[in-house]
Amino acid sequence: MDPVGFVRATRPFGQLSERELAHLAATLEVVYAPRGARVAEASTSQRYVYLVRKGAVRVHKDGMVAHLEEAEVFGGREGAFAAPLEAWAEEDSLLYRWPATVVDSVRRVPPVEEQVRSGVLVPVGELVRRPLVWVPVEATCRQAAERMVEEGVSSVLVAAHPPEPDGLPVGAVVGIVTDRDLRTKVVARGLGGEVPVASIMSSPVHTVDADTPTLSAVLRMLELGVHHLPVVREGRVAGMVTDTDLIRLQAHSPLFLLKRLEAGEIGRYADEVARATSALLEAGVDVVHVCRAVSYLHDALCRRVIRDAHARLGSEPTAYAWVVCGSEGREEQVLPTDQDNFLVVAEDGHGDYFRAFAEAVAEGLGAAGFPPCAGGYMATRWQMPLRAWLQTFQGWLADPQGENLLHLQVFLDFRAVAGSLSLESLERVVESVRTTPVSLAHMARGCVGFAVPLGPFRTLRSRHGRVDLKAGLVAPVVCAGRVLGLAAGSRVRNTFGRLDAAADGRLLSREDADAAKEALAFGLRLRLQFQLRALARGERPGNEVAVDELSGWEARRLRESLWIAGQLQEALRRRYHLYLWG
Amino acid sequence: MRIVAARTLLRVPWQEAVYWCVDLETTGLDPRSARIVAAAAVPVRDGVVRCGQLYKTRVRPGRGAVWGGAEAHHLLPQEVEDAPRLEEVLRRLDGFLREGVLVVHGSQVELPVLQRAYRVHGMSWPRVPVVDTVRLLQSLERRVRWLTAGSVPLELGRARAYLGLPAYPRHDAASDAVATAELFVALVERLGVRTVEELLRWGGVR
Repeated sequence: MDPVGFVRATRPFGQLSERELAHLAATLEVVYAPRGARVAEASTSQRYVYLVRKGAVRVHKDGMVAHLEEAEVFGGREGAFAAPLEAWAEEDSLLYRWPATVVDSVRRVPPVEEQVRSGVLVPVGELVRRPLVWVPVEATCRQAAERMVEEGVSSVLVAAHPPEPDGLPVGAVVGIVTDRDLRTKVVARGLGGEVPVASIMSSPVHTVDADTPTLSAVLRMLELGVHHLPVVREGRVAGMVTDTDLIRLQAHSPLFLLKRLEAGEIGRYADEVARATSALLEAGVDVVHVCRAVSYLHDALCRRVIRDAHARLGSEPTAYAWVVCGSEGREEQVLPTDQDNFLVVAEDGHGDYFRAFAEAVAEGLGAAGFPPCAGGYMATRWQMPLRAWLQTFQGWLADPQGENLLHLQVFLDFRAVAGSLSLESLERVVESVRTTPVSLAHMARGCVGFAVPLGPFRTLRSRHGRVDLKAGLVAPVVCAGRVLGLAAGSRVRNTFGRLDAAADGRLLSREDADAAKEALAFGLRLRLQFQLRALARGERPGNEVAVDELSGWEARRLRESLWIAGQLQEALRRRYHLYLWG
Repeated sequence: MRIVAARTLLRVPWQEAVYWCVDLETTGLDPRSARIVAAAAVPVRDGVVRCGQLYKTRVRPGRGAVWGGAEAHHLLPQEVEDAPRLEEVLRRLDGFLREGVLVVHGSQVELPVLQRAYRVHGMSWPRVPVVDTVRLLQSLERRVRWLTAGSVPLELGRARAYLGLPAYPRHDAASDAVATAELFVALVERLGVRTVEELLRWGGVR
């Protein structure tokens, strides 16, 4: 891409008019900085605004160090990396630069770094377009429908008393009625318009604070499965955001995908998740949040497929829990990989129904792009009454070696996504492992068994020029997180949460926990980037990265992350005296 | 800076000279028959590519031109009907060249075409130093081969990728000129060139 095309595509200074672009093009200078060269010094750094076109730059500012990569901006008088600062080329770098006065004349508020994150981090309050629409709690459905038509909105709030001069207090909101409610609860059931709204409204109403970043609002909608969220500012309802408002921000929004799922379109699910993922990553969203957004989608897909299975086979003869495990259980799975799930039923004796049920769900998930699990951790095989599951878990935990250890590494990260059966008793069995250090030590031994591919002097040990990010980086950190999280008595499944719990429980210093979280986030992000690239080329995404495809900065970051994984293993060795085990 | 005393120029740091990176799109590769249909030039001053001073133009090739090369430059005869005449374009280029050093990628094609155009229009070729980025790449290759037995690609796009420079659209005179300029500064840094003299030794065309 030529320089102007790059500025147009990356929009480092926000949306620019053609005239402004022409102005930038006419004043653009290209600087080449070989690795190690100083790009800017404190006294002159305000003269130019730099855009990293290729390579990486290390910026020192106020005692902090930042690594800037392609499309990031520094220097000048505004933004997170404004002067004074010093900058060095981390690797051979091509930089675009403009006199700061030129950039000031085209740059929009808000500052650069928020523009780069393109919308997903703006406060959700800024998306509120229309004033609030409400009806009194005594209103009828007909009146609510009329208000919605008058205002051209798809939902109304139901209020216990009228708004005060400064707005409607959030405490006065008793419910919400959407056009969907009117369709499914009134019209479809043949009820008349005189039905009071109070009898069909959803209550209580979930709200979102106006300062919440839009991405968090998206996550909240996905989590709650709702399409409307009242926005609250200082205790008053400021208005409503809808999924349509949020979808408009991004064509490949996860919310859009959720809508398609609800409409029953699952055939292209895997492709669309990949596209949504890469849109989020490109928007600069933290990989942890990407994982969370996608895991809500996977759950929604799973529930959708289960609904279809019930439609075919009838409702369940006894209560059950459909449980996902492995990376999906930890909410760390992004691209659809193998199905890892199991089924817990309340009572014995309904084998025929649940075998057919599990087959139907597995088939549905397969159609959406989740291949059946090669190792066979699937509900089609793994289904038992709760009592039997309790004994099975106790048996594995009592002797966590060999095959039992392998089972534990997948099954311990379980999370129920559908069904009404409570798994509290199973949770308590898992929790009890805290008091049996021998079991934890066996699991710790499993963790140190992963060979971190780092040689002496922190050199990368690649095999045929490739490094396995799963076995070499992700798995050791995930396993260590599991051991430490369980040891801290935490019920959290997510590795980031487990590492925090370990720090809270003083099993790990806060700094070490943060370093481990960063290492894992880097590993997940790097793997995801390579997987998305592989998908774009029509290849099957794997866990390996080619060392020579890494930028210099990525290679250095990878070595640091691997070193942290090794340190974490070392900490486990010391904690559980694994040196004595041989 | 004008080149008045070539000898003093040689010892100065390379950044102190002005370089004009020129790219021509032609109707063919044979310098005797090829006509120029587009030209672009961008200067490197103080070691920095000045995109703001980019000069780019289409060129009306004149009567008798056999149209060719469209698969590369994507220009059609009607698109250059109203373009400036070659002589006008040469006068502009000549002004640039007399300011410093000419840089081209592939002097064996570009130089004869340009020099022939000068002759046809009765203009005298300025005796400016010429640097060919292909020669700089060959110098780099000699060094790389000695160290690691590796080779260095010479084609503009692949050479840029080899040096970690981004991909630009090809066969557009303006972006090829900028691409050549960036390749030039990257090569100068990679080779550790200090003076103009060293630059001409490693990349000069005699």
